[in-house]
Amino acid sequence: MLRNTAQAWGSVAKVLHWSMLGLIVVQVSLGWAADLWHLSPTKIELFIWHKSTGILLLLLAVLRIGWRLCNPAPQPPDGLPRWERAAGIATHVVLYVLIVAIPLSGWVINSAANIPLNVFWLFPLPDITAPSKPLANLAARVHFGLYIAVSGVLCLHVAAALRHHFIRRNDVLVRMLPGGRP
Amino acid sequence: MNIVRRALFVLSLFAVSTVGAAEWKMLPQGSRLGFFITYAGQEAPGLFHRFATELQFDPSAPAGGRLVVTVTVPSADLDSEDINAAIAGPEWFDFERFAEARFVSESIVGAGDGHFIATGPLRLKGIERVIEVPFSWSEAGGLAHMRGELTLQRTAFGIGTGEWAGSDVIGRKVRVRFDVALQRVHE
Repeated sequence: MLRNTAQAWGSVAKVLHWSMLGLIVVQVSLGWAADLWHLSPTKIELFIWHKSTGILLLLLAVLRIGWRLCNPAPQPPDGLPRWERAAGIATHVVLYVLIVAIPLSGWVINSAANIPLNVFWLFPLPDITAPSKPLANLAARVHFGLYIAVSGVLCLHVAAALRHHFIRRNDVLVRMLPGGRP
Repeated sequence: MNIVRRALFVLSLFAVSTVGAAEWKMLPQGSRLGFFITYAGQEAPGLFHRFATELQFDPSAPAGGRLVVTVTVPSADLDSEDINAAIAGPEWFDFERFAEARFVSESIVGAGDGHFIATGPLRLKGIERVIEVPFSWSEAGGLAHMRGELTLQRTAFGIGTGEWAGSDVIGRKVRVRFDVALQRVHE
């Protein structure tokens, strides 16, 4: 089943969810490695991988939000307190905003620093801003700030999923697992 | 006597050929010396803001001409503060030790249809290599343009040393493109 139903996530939503998790883990590692490496061809290659993966994640994020908008999301379990329901909605909205904003802020850094980028060595990425060192510095701070923010929100997201599973004993976690039934 | 006469005749040929070539002055406003590096296979344009061209040249007698180009290497600009800072260092251009690059032609020959080839040593980052500089010549009313393009191997001049020499992340070939505006100097 590709599409979501009122009770279950479809396979498209699951593939997007878990592939993005895997890519985000790779992406964070690449980002740290590229940042800490000494200036060398390897550093440039790490950055090309990081930036290319970022553009892929941006594409997936846009597809995911589009898919979410034209698909009903499964209903939250019955009997959930109003604050938990509200917290769940807020967390997901913030996550959706961040998975778009983080790659975009990276794209701004790259454009403002005016570094050429051949995405996955395949096609050149157009610039979205004019060259500007102050803008590149500002975007770099925003990029790092958003990374800290998404790390916090993801911790919250995981903690909430585990709470649903082990404390509330509902199907919120299981229904997102591959092969998990509602 | 015969030998002396012959020597004088040969000398006079030289004298005629250099005196005969017109003197040209570069017009900096209309002149550009650009280059293209590749960054992971993608071309990025750069520019030397400051360079000077000395030229004695007559397209009908190119052999008597002489071209000298002097480049202020620290005026290199890739339109990125980060990259500009990186290329200043000893692994790349080493601005501090090698602020000037110079090409001096040893011969200029016609290549047909308004095209010429100047050959001579280019001294860049302290390394001298003979290169060919092909150019086209267009002239009207005492003003002229010489335009051309050539490809250099950066590693032949020790530009990009250490790990950079063995890597093609920053391509080893650099395309150089110039368009020099010139004005005939009246004697």
